[in-house]
Amino acid sequence: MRRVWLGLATLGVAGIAVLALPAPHASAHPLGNFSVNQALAIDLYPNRVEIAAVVDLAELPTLQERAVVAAEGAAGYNARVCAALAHDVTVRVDGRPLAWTVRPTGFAYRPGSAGLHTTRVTCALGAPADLAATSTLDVTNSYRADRIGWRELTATGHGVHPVDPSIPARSPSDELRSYPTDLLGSPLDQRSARLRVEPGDGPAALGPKTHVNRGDPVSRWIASADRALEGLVGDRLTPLIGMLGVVLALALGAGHAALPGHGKTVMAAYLAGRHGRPRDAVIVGATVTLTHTGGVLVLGLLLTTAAGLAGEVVLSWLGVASGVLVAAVGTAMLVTTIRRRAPRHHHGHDHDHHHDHDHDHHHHHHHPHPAGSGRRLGLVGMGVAGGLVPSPSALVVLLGAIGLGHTWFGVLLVAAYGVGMAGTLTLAGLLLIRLRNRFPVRPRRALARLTRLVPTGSAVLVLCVGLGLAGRAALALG
Amino acid sequence: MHTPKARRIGAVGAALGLAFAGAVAALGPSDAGASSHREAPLIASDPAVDNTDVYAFVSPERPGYVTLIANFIPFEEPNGGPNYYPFATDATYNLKVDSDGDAKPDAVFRWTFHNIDKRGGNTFLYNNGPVTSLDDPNLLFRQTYTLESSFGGRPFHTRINAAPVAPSRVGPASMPNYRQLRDQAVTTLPGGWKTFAGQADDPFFLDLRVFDLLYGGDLSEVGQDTLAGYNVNTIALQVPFKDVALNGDATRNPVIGIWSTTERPRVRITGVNAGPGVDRVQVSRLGNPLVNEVVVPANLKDAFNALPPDRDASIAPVVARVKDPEVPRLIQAIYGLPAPATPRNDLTEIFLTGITTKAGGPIKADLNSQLNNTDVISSRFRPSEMLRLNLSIKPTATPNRLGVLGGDLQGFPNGRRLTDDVVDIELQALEGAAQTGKLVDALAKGDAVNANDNPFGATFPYLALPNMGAVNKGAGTGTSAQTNAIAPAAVKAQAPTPSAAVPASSAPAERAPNTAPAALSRPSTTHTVGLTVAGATGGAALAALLLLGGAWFMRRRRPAPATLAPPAPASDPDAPER
Amino acid sequence: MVRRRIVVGFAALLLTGAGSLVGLRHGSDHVTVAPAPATPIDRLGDSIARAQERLRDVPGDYDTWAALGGAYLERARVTADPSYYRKAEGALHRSLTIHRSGNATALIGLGALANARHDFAAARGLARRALRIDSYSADAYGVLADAQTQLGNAAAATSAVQHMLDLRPGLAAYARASYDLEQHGRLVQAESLMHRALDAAVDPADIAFCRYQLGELYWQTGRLNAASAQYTAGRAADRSYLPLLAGQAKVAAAVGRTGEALAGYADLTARYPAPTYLFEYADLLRSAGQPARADEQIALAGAALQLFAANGGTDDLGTAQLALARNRPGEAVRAARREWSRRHFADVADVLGWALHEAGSDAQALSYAHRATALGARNAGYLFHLGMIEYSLAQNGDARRDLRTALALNPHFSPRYAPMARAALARLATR
Repeated sequence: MRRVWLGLATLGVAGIAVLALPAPHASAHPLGNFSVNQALAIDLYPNRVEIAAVVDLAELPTLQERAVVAAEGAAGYNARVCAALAHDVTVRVDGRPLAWTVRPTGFAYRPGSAGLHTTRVTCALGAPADLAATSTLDVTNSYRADRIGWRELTATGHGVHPVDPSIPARSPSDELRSYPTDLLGSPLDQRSARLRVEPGDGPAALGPKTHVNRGDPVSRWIASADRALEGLVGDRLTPLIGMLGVVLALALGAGHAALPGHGKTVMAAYLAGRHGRPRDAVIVGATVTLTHTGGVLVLGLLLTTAAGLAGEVVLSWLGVASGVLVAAVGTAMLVTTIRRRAPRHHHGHDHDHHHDHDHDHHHHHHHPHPAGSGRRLGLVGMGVAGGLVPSPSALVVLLGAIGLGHTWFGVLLVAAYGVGMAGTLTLAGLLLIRLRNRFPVRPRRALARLTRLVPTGSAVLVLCVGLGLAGRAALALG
Repeated sequence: MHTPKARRIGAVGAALGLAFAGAVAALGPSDAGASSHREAPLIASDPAVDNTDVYAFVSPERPGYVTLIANFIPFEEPNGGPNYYPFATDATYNLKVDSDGDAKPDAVFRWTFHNIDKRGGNTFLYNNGPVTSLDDPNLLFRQTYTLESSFGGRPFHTRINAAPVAPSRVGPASMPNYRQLRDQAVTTLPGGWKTFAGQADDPFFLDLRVFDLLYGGDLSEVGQDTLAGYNVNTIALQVPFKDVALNGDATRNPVIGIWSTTERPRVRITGVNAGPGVDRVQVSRLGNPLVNEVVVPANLKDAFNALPPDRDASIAPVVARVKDPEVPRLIQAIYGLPAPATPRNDLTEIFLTGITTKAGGPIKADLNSQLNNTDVISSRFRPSEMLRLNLSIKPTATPNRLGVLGGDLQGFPNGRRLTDDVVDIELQALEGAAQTGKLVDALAKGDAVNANDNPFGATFPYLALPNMGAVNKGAGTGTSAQTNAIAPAAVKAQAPTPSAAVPASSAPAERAPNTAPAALSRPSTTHTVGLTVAGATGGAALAALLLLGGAWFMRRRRPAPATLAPPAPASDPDAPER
Repeated sequence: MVRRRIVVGFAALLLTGAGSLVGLRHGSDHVTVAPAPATPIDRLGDSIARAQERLRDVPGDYDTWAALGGAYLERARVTADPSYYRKAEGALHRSLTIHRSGNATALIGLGALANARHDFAAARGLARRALRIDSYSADAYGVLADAQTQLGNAAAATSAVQHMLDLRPGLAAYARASYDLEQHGRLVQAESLMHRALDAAVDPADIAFCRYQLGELYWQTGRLNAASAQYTAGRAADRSYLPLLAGQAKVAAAVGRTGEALAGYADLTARYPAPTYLFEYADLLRSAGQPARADEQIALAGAALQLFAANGGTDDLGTAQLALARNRPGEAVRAARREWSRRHFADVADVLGWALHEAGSDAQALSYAHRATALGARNAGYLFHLGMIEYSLAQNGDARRDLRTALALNPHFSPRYAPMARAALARLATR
C-alpha cells in the first residue's frame, strides 16, 4: 500500500514540477503592446467556405477601443469588429467574390501586462460556394491593413482539398495564443493567398479536428456543455462564474467518464472480474483523477510553452501509450489467472463450496487475494490507463483558460474535471461491487464454470481493448 | 555529432532555452512606451561604396594594354521591378597603381558620378518607353561620370567629362538591345585608353560556403555559385603599359600593384567650417580577392578598409594572420590535413610582397614583386596588400583556372583574370601549394565552382551582360545578344565532380544564391574569376580527380569509406618555380 | 518492485512525451514563413533573408548572427514593430554565446539595443567594449555617439560622431553629424549634412528617415512648405515610415487645416501609440476644444509608459512629461529630477525646468532652462519655456527676447503653446 502511495505521490510531484515550469503569465504581448494580430482559419467544404477569424488586440489598442466597447457593449463591439472584418476579408472563387454571412462568436478581455488587458475577438464568416469542381480561391485580408501585427491564414479542406496549399492547415500560433519565437523567422504577415481546390479528401487531408465524439445525443450535449464552459472561461471571471465553472467541470468529468470508450469500461470489467472491494474502486478513481489531471496539465502546459504543436499528434501518442499499458495489464491479468488456475484448481472448487455454504459478504475476507501487490499494481495501472489519455475537452478547457490568462482557474477546472471522472468511475465500481454482493450468485454448475471464467474473460477483454486502443491511436498517427 | 543522445540533450537544452526565452521575452522594454529620442540608422546599407572585386590582366586581344576592373554593389537582384543601382554621387571610385613598391599610388584613376534625373516628381520609373540608346529621351534617369587621372602624386587631370554610364538593365521590354547600350557606354580616349562604367554580371564565382568551416559548417554541400544570377556595378579601364609602369618602361619595370578604393569627402562638425572638406576618407579598399575572409581577422576588417596599403606592414595582427592563417589550422583540426609549418613566408609573398627571390621568401621564383622592377629602390619597398601583376607575361591562349598554381603564370596571383578560380587557388595556397609546388590533393575540389555562370566577352570590358530575371530563376544574361561570347552557356555541375575529365568546354556552375558570411552590408564581399574554357590540360584533369577526393575529404565527420582522395595522377602540377 | 518500475516507467513516459513535444516544437520552427514581398530595393530585407537562410545552414556563424541581430534592430526602428527587438536580442545573445571574446559586432548590436531601450549608460559601456576590440568600428562610434548624446555628454558625443565621420562617412555618420550640429544650433550645416545623408541613402526606409529629418529641420525654422514637401517625398519613398504622418499632421495644424491634422494624428496614434505623438495629439485636441478626447490620449500615453515600466524600462522623462500633461507639476519635478540624476541631456533639462516652473519654483527652473539651451540649440520649445520662466521672474527683457526668438524660429511650434507665447509677449508690451 505504501508503495502505491509512493507512486501516486511521485505522480503528484511530477505534476507539481510541471506546474513549477515557467507558465506563461501576464507578460508583455509578445508582438508588442500595440499590435493588432489576426488569424483566419479557412474551412473549405464542397458547398461552402467558412472562416473562423480571431483578432487579438494588444494592451494599447484594447485601451484605445475601450470607449467603443463601453458604448456598444461586448456583443455590439463583437458584431462591429466582425462586420468590418467581413468587409475587408474577401474570398473569390474563380474570380467571384463570396458574400459573407457574419456571426460574432466571442469577445473577451484577457489580462495583459501592467494590469492592462488584451482583447480577443472571434468571428465566424460563412458563405455558400461551389467547390464541387476544381476551382481557384483568392483570399485577401485587408482588415486593419496598416496596423502592425501578426497575420496568418490557414486552410483546411473537408470533402475538398487545396492542392499544394501555399498556406498551412494548422495555425502556427495556435490561433494567436502563442507566437513562435524562432529567431530565424520573420513575424508572419500573410495577407493574401491563392488556393487551388479540388474535390475529394486529398492525400494531405487532415483528420477531423479533435473534439468530443459527435453523433449521439449525449455526446452532443456534452460537447455543447464543453463549449459553454469554454465560453464561460473566456468571459470575465467572477467568483460566481468561477464556482459555476467548477461545478460544470465536475459534471462534465462525470459525464465524460460515463461515456463509453477509453479505459473506463475496461475498469468496470476489471473490477467485476477481480471481485473488487470498495477500496479498490476508490483507488482506481483516485488514480484516474491524478493521472488525468496530471496528464492534462503536463500536456496543456507543454502545449502552451511549446507553441504551434499538433495537439492531436500528442494525443495519439498518449493513446498508443495508454493502449499498450492497458494491454500489458490485461496480459498480466491473464497470466496470473492462468497461473493460478493450474495449481489452485481446487481452490476454485473451494471457492464454489464456500459460496454454497457461506454468506457472500464474507467472501472476500476468506478468499485469498490474488497476490496483493500485483492486484494493486493492476488497479493503479488501470487507473493510469483510464486517465492517461487526456480528454480533449479537458485539454481545451485548460488551454482556453491559459490562453485567456486564467491559468490557475484552468488547472482548477481540470482538477474538477478529473474528480468528476473519478467520481463516476468510483461510483460505477462501487455499484458493480455492491450489485454483485447484493445478488449473490448461487450458480448452477454451468454458471459456476462461467463465473470461474470471468477473470480470464475480463483479462482477455482488457487485453483486447488495450490492443484496440493502441491500434486505433496508432492508426490516427499514420 | 548527431547521435540520438546528443539530439536528446539538444532537446533538453531546447526546453531549457525555451524557458529562458520566455524569461527573456518578458524583459525588454522596447515598445511604443518611452519618450522618443532620435534614432538614426546605424547599419544602413551602403552598397554603392562596397568594393567587391578587383581584376587586373594583360589584355588578351590588345597587346601592350592592361585592363583594370573594379566591382561594387554586391547582390544586385535583377528581378522584375524597376531596380536601378546607381553609383554613389558623393563618393569617388578609384583604381590605384603602385609601380615602385612603396605602397603608395603612383597612378590614380578616379571616377566621379553624376545623376541626370528627368523624372521630376511625376514618376519613379527610370524610363517611359523602350530605351535604344544612352541618350534616348525615354531614359529618364541616367548617370554620367568624370574620369580623372593623376600620376606620380601630381594633380589630377580630367580625361573625360560627362561620359555615359551603362544603365541598370531594367528588362527586355525597356531595353530591347542591351548590348547596344553597353557598347555605347565603352568610351575610347586619347592615348588609347578605354573606359567603361555600368552594370554587369557579377564575374566572381565561388561557393562562399567553403568558408563555413570557419564557423563549423558542413562542407559537403559546396558547389553552388553563391553569386550566380546577381549583377554588380563595374568600372573598367584599359591603358597602355607605359602609363602604369615605373618610368613608363614596362620592359625594365614590368610589375605593378593594383587596388581599388572608394572614398568620400571628410566631413568635420567642429570649427567654423563644419561640413565636407577637400580631403577624403577611404571607405573601402580591395586588392587581392577574399582578403577579408581569409586574411584579415574579423576585428580588423574596419581598420583594413580604412587604412592605405602603406600602413599594412604596421598592422601587426594582419601580418601575423598572414603568417599564421586560421584556415589551414581549421582544416588540420577538422580534416586532419597537416597545416604547413609557420611562419608562412610563402603567404607573405603572395599577399604582401609579391612572388620574388629578393625578399628572402621561400618561393624560388621571380614573378610579380615590384622588387623585380629594375628601377625600384629596394630600400623604399614596403610590404602591402595589393594585387600584383607582371605585365611582361604574355596572355596564354589556354588559361588555367588555377592560374600560377596550375602552371599558368598569367593568372592569379599574378594579377587576376575574370576566369581565375581564386577560391580554389587561395585554398591551395593556404595549404602550402605555392611553397611546395604541389597541389594539395585533398583540397582540389575546393568550392567545386570552377567557372562563372555566364561566359565572358572577348573584348573590353570583357564582362558578361547583366543578368535578367530573379536570381533564383536564373534568366541569365540572354546569351543571344552575346555576340562575341567565347564559351558556351553555363552548364550545371553536381557538387562532387564525378570524373577526372573536366571537359574543356564545360563551365560548371550552379545557380543558387547563398549568403556570404559578410553579406550584411560590410565592404567585404569578395570574389573572383574563373576561366571558362580552354585548359583541358593535365592540370585540369588532376584538379578534377582532386575535386573528387576533396569531396570525400570534406564530408565532415561522416564515416567515409574513402576518406582520402584517390591517388593523384602522376602528372606534374607544374609548379610556379621554374 | 514491479510497481516501482511502473511508476518509473510512467515518469519516463511523461518525460519522453515532454521531450518529443520539445522535439516536435523544434522541428516546427521553420513553419514561420518568409516576409511579405519586399519593396523595390529592400537591401535590409534581403540581407535579413540571406542571413536567416545562412544561419539555418551554418548555425555556428556568430558573425552572421550578430549581423542579423543588427539588421533586426534596423527593422525594428524602421517598422516600429517591437517583435523585432526580441529577435534582435536573441540573435545577438546567440552570437555572443557562440563566440564570447572579441565579438565586437555583437557588442555593437547589444549597445544599439540598449540605446533603443533607453538604457544609455549600458549602451555606452557596450560601445566602449566594442571599441576596445575594434577601434576602427564606425558602428561602435555610432552607438557611443547616440549614448553620449542622450546622456548629455555633448563633447564626448561630438567626438564620437567625428570619429565616425573619419572612419566611414555615409548615411549613418551624416545623420548623426547633422543631429549634433542641430543641437548646437547650427541648423544650416545640419541641413546640408542631412541632404548629404539623403544622397547616400539607398533603402526606402533610409530615404524616408532623411526626408523626415529634413522636414523637421525646416519645421523648426518655420519653413512649412519646405517641410511639407519633405514629408510628402518621404511618404512617397516609404509609406510605412510613421513619423512622417506626425510631420504632415503638424504642418496641417499649423496652416489651419485642423480637421486634417486631427485625422492624421488619430491615424498615427492608432498605428503607433507612442507617448510623444500622443502628447502632441492631446495638445492639438485641447487647442481644438476637445479636452475629453485629449484626456483619453493622455491616459493612453500613461498606459504606454506603464507598460514600458512593467517590462523593465526606466523612462522618467516620459513620466515627467505625462505628469505635466496631467497637470501634476510636483510629480513631474520628482520624475524629471530622477532622470536628471541619470543624464544631463538638453531635453531633460528642458522638462525639468518647465516642471519646476509649473510647480512655482521659477528661480530653480531658470537654471535648467538655461542648461537646455546651453549648447546653442535653436529650439522654439526650449526658448518658449525659457522665456516663460523669465516672464514669471519678471526678467522682462530676457523674456521678450526669448519668446520673440521662439516665435521667430517657428511661429507654429505648438498649437497649445504658441498662442501662449504670443499672449505673454502682448502682456510684456504693457509691462
